[in-house]
Amino acid sequence: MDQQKVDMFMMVNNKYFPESQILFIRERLLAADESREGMLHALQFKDPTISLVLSLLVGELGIDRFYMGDTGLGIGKLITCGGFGIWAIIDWFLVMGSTREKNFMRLMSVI
Amino acid sequence: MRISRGRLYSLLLFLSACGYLWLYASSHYLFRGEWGGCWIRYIFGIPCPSCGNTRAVHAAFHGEWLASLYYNPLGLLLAALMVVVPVWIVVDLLRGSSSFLRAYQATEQKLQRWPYAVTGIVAIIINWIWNIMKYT
Repeated sequence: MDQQKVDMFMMVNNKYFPESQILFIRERLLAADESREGMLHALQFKDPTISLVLSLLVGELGIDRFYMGDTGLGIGKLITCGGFGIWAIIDWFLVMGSTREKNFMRLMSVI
Repeated sequence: MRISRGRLYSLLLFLSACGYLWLYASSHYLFRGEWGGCWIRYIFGIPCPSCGNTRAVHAAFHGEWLASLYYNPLGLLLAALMVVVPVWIVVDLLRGSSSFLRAYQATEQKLQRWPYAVTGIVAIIINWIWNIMKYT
């Protein structure tokens, strides 16, 4: 893909991906075929900040996990009162990283 | 976007072990009067949709199905998962297969479709209202 388009994409979307993968994503996008561009723009990424807010407010009901697309673990969290309240607290610290990881995997499945 | 087999299996085995540990601790009254396992109840004084599940799972494991349903219908689901999931995972690991992972992903995809999602949300809300009526 064209370098200018890749730089623009990275500028707009880099908050959605893990810091450690930014360079790798850039390399992959540069090497990707032009035909992937349409699919790339159609992708919707989950906002890590929204995940954190959901985790803080309604994490015990597993809503943060449902938002990320982790429906199975969301149900697990919901039917155990947020893992007896402990899993809900652990997720406050993990949920932003997990959301970025999910976004990264979603992007990788396209390019 | 898919969770890996090793990660899912180890996470669910760990959660199942925690569940049995919690059940053992609560049945021996190790947390009596201190921590009921629910932030919503602790802070706001109202039960969450899953409050009563420890008692419900306990009742289900002792064959008291009606009592389990009364404490919380989700408890029966939780009790079934606590029995089936670890056994299925261990069998999968011994046989080197991924049948649980495939079933998990298929169920997850199905639950993300709106008719199932809406039904689930409505059921949880109804259960929550019943829980509030029972436990407050």
